[in-house]
Amino acid sequence: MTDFLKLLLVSHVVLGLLGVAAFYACWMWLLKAAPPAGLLRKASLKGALFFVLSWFAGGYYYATYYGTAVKDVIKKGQYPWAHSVFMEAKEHIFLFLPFLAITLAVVLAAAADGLEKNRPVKSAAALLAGTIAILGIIITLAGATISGAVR
Amino acid sequence: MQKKSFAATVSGICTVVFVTLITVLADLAPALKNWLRDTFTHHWIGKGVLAAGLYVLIYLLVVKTARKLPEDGGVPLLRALSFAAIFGAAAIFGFFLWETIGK
Repeated sequence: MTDFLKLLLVSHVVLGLLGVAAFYACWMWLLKAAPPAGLLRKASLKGALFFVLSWFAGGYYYATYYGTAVKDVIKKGQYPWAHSVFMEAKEHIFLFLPFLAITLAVVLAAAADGLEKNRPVKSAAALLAGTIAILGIIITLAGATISGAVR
Repeated sequence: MQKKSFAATVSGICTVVFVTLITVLADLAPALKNWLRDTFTHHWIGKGVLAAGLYVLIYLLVVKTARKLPEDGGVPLLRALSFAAIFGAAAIFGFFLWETIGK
């Protein structure tokens, strides 16, 4: 693996984790009685950007290297299901995240002020933030499983 | 909810449903997977590009054409987006699990 591909691989993990952290923070703030509007707007926007960048970094690695150099190693190894279940699920479920994240960022850009008085939007936004964070955590764990299967 | 938020929510739901469907269909129909690969150099890139295009297209359509927001402000749709993502993720995982152990 070239140094550039190693950088992309590490970057996609770090950026993904930053995205998860941003939306976990949004989730916790949205559960408060008076969510902090400024922090919500910044965190959701940054989180969406992190997911998009993780998508591009991981996607380049996946499309140019994983299929030819890693996939067969896993499929011929002791844990072929790490690819056929976890990688396949992860690479497709991940495609939800940038769009869920962008949607929440758009909603919070407009509605973050006054959420304490708009409980229906607050609770729906909290549900979405929590969904994004939990899906991100599941995807991260799937990635760790796949990495373990390569070794 | 404002119009842009409503549009983003509708786009999000459509995109999540699209990704779920094309993931399953492309694996069940090799011709679709081959078309994605031939058109976009890789089937996964094709799914991503089409999902992004769909999200933007529906967002612009709703922003331009929606005259009146629903009385509930679209909040149930925002909740529905979360459930669509949860069920979509479960469906995708279940499908690949079935493909691995069930086939």
